[in-house]
Amino acid sequence: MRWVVLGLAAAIMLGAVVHLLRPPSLRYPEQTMALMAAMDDDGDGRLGELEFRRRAPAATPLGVFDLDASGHIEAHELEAMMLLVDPLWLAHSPR
Amino acid sequence: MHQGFPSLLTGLIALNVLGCRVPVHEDMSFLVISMDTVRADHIGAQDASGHPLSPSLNAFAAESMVYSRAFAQSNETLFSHTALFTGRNPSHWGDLSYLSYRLPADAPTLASLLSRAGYQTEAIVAGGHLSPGFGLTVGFQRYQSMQDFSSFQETVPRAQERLAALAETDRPFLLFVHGYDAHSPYVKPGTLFRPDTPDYEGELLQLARNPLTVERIYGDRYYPEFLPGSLTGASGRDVLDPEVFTELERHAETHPGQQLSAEDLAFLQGTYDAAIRNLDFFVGVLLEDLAAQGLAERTTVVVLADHGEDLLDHGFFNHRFSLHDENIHVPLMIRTPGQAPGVVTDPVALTDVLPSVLSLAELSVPAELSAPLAAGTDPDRVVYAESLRGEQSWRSRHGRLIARGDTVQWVGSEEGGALSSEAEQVLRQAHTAARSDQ
Repeated sequence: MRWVVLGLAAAIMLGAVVHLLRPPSLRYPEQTMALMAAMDDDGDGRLGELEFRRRAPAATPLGVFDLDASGHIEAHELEAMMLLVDPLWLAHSPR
Repeated sequence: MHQGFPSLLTGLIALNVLGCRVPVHEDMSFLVISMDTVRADHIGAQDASGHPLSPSLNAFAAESMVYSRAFAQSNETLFSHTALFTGRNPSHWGDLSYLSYRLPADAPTLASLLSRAGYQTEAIVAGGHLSPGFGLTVGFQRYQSMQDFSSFQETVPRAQERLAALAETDRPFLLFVHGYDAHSPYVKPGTLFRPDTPDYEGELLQLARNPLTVERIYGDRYYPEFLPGSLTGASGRDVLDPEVFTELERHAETHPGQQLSAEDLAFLQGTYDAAIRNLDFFVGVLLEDLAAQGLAERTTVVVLADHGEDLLDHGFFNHRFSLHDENIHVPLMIRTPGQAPGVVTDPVALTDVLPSVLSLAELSVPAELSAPLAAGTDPDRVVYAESLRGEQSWRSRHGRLIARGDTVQWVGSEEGGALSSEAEQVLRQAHTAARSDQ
């Protein structure tokens, strides 16, 4: 019985960790993934520093949009960049 | 139930007395999306890597009736939207002059006719020539105008809010949403700066943000010292002098200008492509939200452009210079719930949108307007257009004639091939008939 409870607890914890580590789901997956595909030169499903600098307003550091500090812009961060960033703020970002 | 019916009848009679009409299709709403300055040939196009520029619009087209030869009635935002909203040619409402042009407050429009029929009518526009001062607010119960020349990045979030509010009611609506993404300067405030020309590091990188930069380009030369003139219109707003093109041509005769490289020009054209990609994202987001709100099944969606853009096809980066296809061949797609998708290749006009919407709402179509598109199109139709520079144009499925008064300035096939004498004769007859009517 004790092992069953422990096993169950471990499974729940593992599930929670997997859930937390899972990338956030996209609200507009088709639009976002099409955009990612057009910018993702190496096809790894995310934007690296170089891919980002070649396209986004260059003076804006990648870290501003890299919400999980992974060093890359993943799809959910690209979507947030499109939907949540005030374009007028970026307009004043010097290149 | 027996008590409710007389009340309903009384209500309907009261509405009739007030000149209102309850639409038969109580559930049929309309979302009209106007993508300013989008050329027809850039919807469905691909970038150099083979990625579609407009994936969302491509998916929408697959569900819609696509009018592959749709032509605007003018090459400028104010006049073209006036034709769209009223179903009449722009000059019906006055001389095409930025200084004086204003739609009369009593003009029957898409919004006023639907409003009278009980619709909630709202517009979210990106300023510029759709600002309230030009009179296009007629019939809209709610009209939000953003900062001049803003993009769908700014209008779509507001449209999403309004869709959520409209979904809460059973009242049918007209929601008009507009964005200047593809209008110069093609580089708008926003995150997608230059996805199609990532390696360019030339001088235009900075200059592309300046609204006047493309107004200083003629052919493959840049004239930084050229100062495009502006006029102050009746609305109190400054507008570009329509003679700027003639002045630039004259200026180029006496000034050397700076030679632009192939890379410079590719960069500028790439920023236009980037603008298409940007607007496609936001139009796609809006269409997704329409479905998520449960409104797609009772909403006809019209996606169109008011005019295109000369990308050096005839010497300029602009749309006001000529009435050639690059400036007035526009995308037009209509997705109606329950209607099969398809492609119509016959020539049609933006003035057809109003009667088509009225017909879908089962409202009477004023006799002076064209027939609704659903009633059938005519392969031999010749579509008219006019410009603020005094040009007129007639476009058949074979080619185009452009004239200024009695003088024919250009006639031929827009695809570059020869126009048969019969096809040319049709255009010349349309020109002659119009001259004798005036």
